[in-house]
Amino acid sequence: MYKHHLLSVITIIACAFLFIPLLLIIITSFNSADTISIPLDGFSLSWFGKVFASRSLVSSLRTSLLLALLASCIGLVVGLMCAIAITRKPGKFSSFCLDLFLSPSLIPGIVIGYVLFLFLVVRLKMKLDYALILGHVLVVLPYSVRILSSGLKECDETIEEAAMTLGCNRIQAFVKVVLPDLKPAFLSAFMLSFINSFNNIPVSMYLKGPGKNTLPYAMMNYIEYNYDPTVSALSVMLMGLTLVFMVIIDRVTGTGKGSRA
Amino acid sequence: MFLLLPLALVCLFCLLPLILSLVPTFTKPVFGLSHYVAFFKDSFNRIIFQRSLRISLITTIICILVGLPTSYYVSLLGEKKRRLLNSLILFPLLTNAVVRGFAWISILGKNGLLNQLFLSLHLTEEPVKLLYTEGAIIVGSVYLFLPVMISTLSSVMERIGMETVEAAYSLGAPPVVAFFRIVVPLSFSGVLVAGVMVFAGTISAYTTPTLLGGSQNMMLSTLLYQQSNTLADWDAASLIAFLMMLLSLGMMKLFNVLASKIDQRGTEHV
Repeated sequence: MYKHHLLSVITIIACAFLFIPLLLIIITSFNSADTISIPLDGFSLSWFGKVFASRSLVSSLRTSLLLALLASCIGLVVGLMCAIAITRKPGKFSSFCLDLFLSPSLIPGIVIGYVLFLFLVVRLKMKLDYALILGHVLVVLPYSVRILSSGLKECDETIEEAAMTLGCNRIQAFVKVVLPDLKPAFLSAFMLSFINSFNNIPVSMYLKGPGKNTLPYAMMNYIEYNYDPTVSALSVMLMGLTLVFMVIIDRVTGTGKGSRA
Repeated sequence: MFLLLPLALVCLFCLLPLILSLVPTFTKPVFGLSHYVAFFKDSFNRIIFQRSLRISLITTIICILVGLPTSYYVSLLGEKKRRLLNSLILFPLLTNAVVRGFAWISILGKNGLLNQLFLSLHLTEEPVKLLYTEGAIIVGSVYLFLPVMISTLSSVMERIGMETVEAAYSLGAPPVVAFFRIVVPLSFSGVLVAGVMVFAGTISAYTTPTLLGGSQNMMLSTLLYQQSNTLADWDAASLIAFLMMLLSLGMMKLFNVLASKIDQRGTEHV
């Protein structure tokens, strides 16, 4: 009853603006014509086949998946250490550290990429592969720190103490009692880290070596020289991946809240 | 003890490189702002700097104008609808920036869908130049950051609570008046915070200006990449990097302080 029709009009426009472009990509990816056009000439799945026929796209997809996996795992381990240290000893220093760990997410990505390139590659002559992984760990660290530390804060410390009075040592108590409770936080931290590393361009474009490409950058190159629905088809697949991740995150955090309540 | 490794990682590989590359722009060869003065004397640089500011500002304003009513509307919906709409709005946020840029290329391009539509309706004789303009960058940036604006403001709306709005209604305020006299002032600090996030994001984005702006419409981020990667001019690149840090981090700090000041004033009134 508090709704005004102007309000609904703006909301509908906003939602249309957000979804129509993605919808158009999905529709045109099934077009049999070799340009991006509507109405469709006919239905075809050939552009999806074209994605896998392109060697540069497939090899960059492999690079991106591996990189995202590695960076997210390292990020989770480092992030867990940060989260434990910060939540177990709250204080001024801890909140300062939290700000510090979250800071890479505030600095423009292209600046991070550039200064890492200048420092690690130009100055320290570090191997590009390591520099690339390191850069991505910095990109994903804020996500795992934020999610894991808020997950740890919600954990009941008395349960851990109870486990210790029942004969567990510190490490056993942590592994047997706290870690299982952190599972939803772990999963959503991993998913968000993975997506953000996978989608990252500014850091990758400075630190990827010659001849090595991450998928987003390979897509950018492809778009520069070709204008056909291959990228639409690839985009549809990536959207599918995003959707799967979102559903998993939703399930995990949803059930996590349910069991606690 | 657990802090040591992460601290070392962030300090060594994030702060130290930043300091080492950005401080020399003030100290080498002589201490002072001489590099910056020279940078802004060049009209080419000045145009890019102004363009970056202009595009980010317009993007922020559009995001606020569209995002504020939308998030208010979403907050009025029932639990189930609200959750669905929220995750729908989040979806583009998690989609690759190249995919989102590509979507707009295929819409705005010379043979793009919009031009196809115009031609078939005989609105124009020749394709209109929509892509590779500042307008295209703005559209792409709004597309990039509108979800950020809406999702940030949605949590602000939840905190406001609808009791005050209900009170306004029961006292006879029409919806428009209630929106502008209750919702807008109460969410103002949230709008500032979200707005500066959009501003900083737009000014730091690289993919969108590259894909939609082309080489004629460079922004600071594309200039930084050109200086460092194509020309290997580290001095110029570091200078631009510092300007970008100043514009994004500096503005964020400033506006967050401003927002918390406003919040305090609000509680004092109560």
